[in-house]
Amino acid sequence: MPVVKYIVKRLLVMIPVLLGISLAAFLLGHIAPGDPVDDALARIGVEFPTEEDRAEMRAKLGLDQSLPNQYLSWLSRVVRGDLGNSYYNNKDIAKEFRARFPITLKLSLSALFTAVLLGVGGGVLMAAFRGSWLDKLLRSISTLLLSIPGFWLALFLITVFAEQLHWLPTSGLDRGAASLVLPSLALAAANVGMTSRLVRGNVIAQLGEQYILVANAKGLPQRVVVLGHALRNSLVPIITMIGNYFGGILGGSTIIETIFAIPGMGSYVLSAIQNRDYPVIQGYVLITGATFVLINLAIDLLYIAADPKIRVGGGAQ
Amino acid sequence: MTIRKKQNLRLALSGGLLLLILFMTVFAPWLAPCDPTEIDMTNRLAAPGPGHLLGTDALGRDVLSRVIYGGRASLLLAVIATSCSMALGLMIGLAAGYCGGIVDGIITAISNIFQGLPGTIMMIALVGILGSNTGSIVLALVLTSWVGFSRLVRGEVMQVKQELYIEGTRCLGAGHWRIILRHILPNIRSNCIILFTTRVGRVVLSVAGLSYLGLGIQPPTPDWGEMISGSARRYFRSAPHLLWAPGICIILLTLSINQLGDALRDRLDVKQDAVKEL
Repeated sequence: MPVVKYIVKRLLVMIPVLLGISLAAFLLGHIAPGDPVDDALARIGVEFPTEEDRAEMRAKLGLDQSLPNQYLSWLSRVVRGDLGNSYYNNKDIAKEFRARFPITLKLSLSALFTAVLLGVGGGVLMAAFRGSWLDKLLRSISTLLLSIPGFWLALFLITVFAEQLHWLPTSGLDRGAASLVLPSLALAAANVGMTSRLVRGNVIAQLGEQYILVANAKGLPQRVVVLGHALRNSLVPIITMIGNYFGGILGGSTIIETIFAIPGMGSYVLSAIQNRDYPVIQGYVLITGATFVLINLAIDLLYIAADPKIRVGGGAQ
Repeated sequence: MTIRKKQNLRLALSGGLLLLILFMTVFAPWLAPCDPTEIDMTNRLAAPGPGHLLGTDALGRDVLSRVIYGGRASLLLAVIATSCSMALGLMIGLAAGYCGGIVDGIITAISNIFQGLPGTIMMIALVGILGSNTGSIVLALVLTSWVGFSRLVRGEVMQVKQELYIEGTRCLGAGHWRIILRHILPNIRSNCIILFTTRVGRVVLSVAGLSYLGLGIQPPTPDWGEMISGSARRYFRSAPHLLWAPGICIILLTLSINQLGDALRDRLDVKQDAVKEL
């Protein structure tokens, strides 16, 4: 069963990466400036702690143990869904993230979808009309998209489509899908540029292959040749890249959320940074890191559909 | 026009634009009409006109002078951070590719973990925890981008290592260092230059994003990203030039760097993947 073998292999590769992410999140808390014992005491109102107070708190926080032990006990709590309480307002961090995570995920997935739709569409158009004015125009646009900072594009889109034309809302999420259009576009822009260039290159490479000559000789319409043959055969590298882009989209959503006043994880972590609320930052790294890995896994499973080599054995690396 | 001529023209255009921007940032103290940090509360949010060609910002500072100075900090940061990433990635990639075996195994496993961490998020988290100073920004940038270089170098080294002429030089008695320095490094030079160029472009955008969030270059240092974030966001309806001027500068800078990378790729005729158009 090559498919099962492929899936099992993918799942096994995931484990060290997930552990690495958790280690990174743990170490982030560890390298944070300030003495956690004094900070914890100050939060419960002990301004001038004695040595006994500090020793007691150190034991209570588990900081008297070795670093590996601290990591393991932290990890076991995290796995059970306990991200600790906020230093700032003592609220349950996991609960806050549970409310905000779906919003960020919705925005990121919608941006990913936008990137794929516009990127693949633009790329195929460029390849099909290679050398024409349309190709040149779209290529210039994709080059430009790669060089525009997302936040600037967001402000530009707000000015044009929300303030001038009043087509779409400037901020918030209360108008359903319409509220997601501008944030998704701003978030997807750079990836649209990259995807369309990649698709163009790959499809053009495929169009030079022998089987395309056969398809053309059979008298298949150009549409079928490009979409059914050339695009179909260039899917594998495209899918790989799209998985990689998702990390950038998740990170970029932090900026885009603040511009559009979207109450996702990004705005939460930014206020946490201002309040030096380290457990929230740790939780943010953990959750976004794990999401990135899982989405990549889901995208890798698309290979099974896109790459017949996996189904018959061998398979993509 | 022949393809070669067209490539040369593109190289000249993108390189020229980049040089122009570099000239502007390097010679900012001589070019700027005013002190970019001088506050004049009696002349806030002035429209572009004589005296202040690009108007003034919410604190009455001259926008043109801030624009001229605004690329300094982030460009310097981008070049330093990318050079460090390249040096680190080069060493690690050389070790992995040349030694192979268990060294390669361990390094590949570590790279997989680093590649599994979303870069922007790690950057925000690291800078957020360590505080926004030059050191932590460079550290965050290096930690999130060395893998790209080490992957590239490793792949190239493994390929070059198998070439017959390497075996030949080894038979002639050449040591490991001689092979690495004289035969392998020259072979991966073009690829490294191209990756360096494209990375600098990406890093400029990342730093601008960080500055926009208030985590990058700190005020009062004039910086394009920071200029857009601060007052520009609040006043961009009444004073759109606050948004346009620094934004166009970031776009032109990144565009010229990206175009230079593309032009170099064509010019040095590097086979990236099998797809030259990428």
